[in-house]
Amino acid sequence: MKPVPPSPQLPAPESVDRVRLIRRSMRCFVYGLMGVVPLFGLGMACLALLLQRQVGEETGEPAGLAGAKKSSIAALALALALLGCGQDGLVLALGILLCALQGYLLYLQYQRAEPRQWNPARHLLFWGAGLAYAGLVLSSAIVLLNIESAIRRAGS
Amino acid sequence: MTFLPIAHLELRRAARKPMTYYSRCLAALAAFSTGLAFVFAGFHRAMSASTAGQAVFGVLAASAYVLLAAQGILLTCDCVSLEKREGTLGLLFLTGLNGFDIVAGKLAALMSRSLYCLMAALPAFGFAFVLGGVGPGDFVKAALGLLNTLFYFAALGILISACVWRERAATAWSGLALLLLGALLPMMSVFVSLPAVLVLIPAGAMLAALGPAAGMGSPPPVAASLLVPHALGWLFIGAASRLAPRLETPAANARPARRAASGRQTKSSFRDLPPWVVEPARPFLTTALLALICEGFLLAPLFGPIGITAPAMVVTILLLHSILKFQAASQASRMLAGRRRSGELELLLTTPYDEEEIVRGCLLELKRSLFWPALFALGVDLALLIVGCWKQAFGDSLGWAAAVVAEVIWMLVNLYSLSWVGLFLGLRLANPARAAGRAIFYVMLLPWLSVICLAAPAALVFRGRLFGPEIAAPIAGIFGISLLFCNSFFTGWAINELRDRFRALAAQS
Repeated sequence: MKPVPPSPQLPAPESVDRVRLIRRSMRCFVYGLMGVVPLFGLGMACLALLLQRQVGEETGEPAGLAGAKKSSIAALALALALLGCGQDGLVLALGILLCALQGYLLYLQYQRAEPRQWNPARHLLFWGAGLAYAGLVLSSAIVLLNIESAIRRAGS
Repeated sequence: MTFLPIAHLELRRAARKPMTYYSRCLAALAAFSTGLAFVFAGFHRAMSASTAGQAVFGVLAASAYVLLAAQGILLTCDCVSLEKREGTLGLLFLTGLNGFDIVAGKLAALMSRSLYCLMAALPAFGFAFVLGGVGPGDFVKAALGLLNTLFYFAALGILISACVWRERAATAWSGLALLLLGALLPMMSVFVSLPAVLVLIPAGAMLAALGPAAGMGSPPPVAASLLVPHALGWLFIGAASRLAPRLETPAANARPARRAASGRQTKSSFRDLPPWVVEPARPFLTTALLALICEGFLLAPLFGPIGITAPAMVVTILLLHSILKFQAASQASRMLAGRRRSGELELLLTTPYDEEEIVRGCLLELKRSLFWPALFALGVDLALLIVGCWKQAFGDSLGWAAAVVAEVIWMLVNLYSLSWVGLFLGLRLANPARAAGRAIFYVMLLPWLSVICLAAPAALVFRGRLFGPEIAAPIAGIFGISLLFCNSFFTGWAINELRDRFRALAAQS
């Protein structure tokens, strides 16, 4: 009788403390909700992103957003150019547009990425990260506008 | 034979720590940024060049004095007593080392980081020469005065460490010495003009270097104010070398044992606490200290002219709040650190108590020990608020009231943050002094550092108008946001880590 070759197996998932995973995901949502408030919620937004990264490290899911960095750099360059032209309102609009873009990218990532660990609070993790990104982008836009107005006042 | 072998060992150990390198870079960055801000201000006519030179010199010298005094005494205050508690000091004496070898070795190693920071920051004082108003003699006097400050307070810390056994006593005595010799005596000597007292403490040399800008009519002689504190420092080292081997006996630990045998620890105030909480809280000592400060600062100038009353009230409020914050950080850091090091925490986790209950018990203990001091400080704040409004301290009583209320709210927020961050860092580092220092750095000093590092670019962008009213509001806004960010981020981080990693950290040896 011929021996049957072993069938190729998928790598077994590493053991993860799922209770901690779910708790962290829920906490990420709560911090993201607080972090969406511009300026005042900056600390909470950073915490939400930190939690998202920690959960990503545990589950093996990519934590960073695809294309987020490129779009942020492009938006910052555009915002500086707009500030140079004195278009303050457009900077705020650009910030809101960037928030929407980040949200869309997050939604795509949520849909496409296959979860490697069972986590019923996975959607909360993505919501928390999205809200935190929105808070960070709006805070950056407000800080940029304030700096620009201060420079203008100092110049005059 | 190697000269000072303990110094070799400790310096090699310090050289392997990344913080030794990061801290001097940070010190240099902060000093250069502050200096550049004043240079831009001076060259763009925001203030006269000589005024800017004197201002940058005064700000840098005063900041360096405060940081070096605090670092010198707080880093050394538990170094010998820690060896005693862990039983390693006796082993060192078996090797043929004497008391001086050990004390000098510890001193050299613990002073090295602060010395590096000072050396990195000293070139920034050169900005004052560029602007004018300060001579090379003033710079030399200030540099020598700062070196002397570090040496004096480090030697005093090591003497305290050789005299006491428990970590709590070491921290309390060093805090008291710092407050008395580093802050209260110099301030009172400036107010009452007592040059003879200033000769005994290193602040005298600093005041002599700063000259009339320090607000003192007749500063003490420079040579005496450098030599006498330096000699006192060597005296402290000599006394510590004699005391370190003499107190290394089991009888030194008899006091806590006697207290435990008399049953005084299980008094009624701890009835509601979990049974494992046996550390006695001493709120009345802190309250008495706060009352002493209030008396020293307020009674004399309170009934005097408004020019003295207003600064005295501001200094009193800030000093009371700072002591409370220091106490909160120190107590919170001590709660879990000792228990983790002795393995008590790991044993405790095998009982029906879980980590949530342990943390809740610690916070309850902390609240009870800080309740009366905080209430006393709030009472003093209220009294000063009423007196300030009554005397129209700043011309506008509404502004004074708003400032006091904001400071009180900020103190309460800081106390909450320091409790959580101190608890977590105490558990993670298992070293109360380091944990308390790091908690204070994260929550209280980091926002200042970020604003200082922003000062130079801001001065460059605003063409030196950093001190104008149109720029002050955005700068204050950035400072407020960084305060809020540091508090919320580090508190949340500590809460997260305590919930997620408590068992893992408690089980680490």
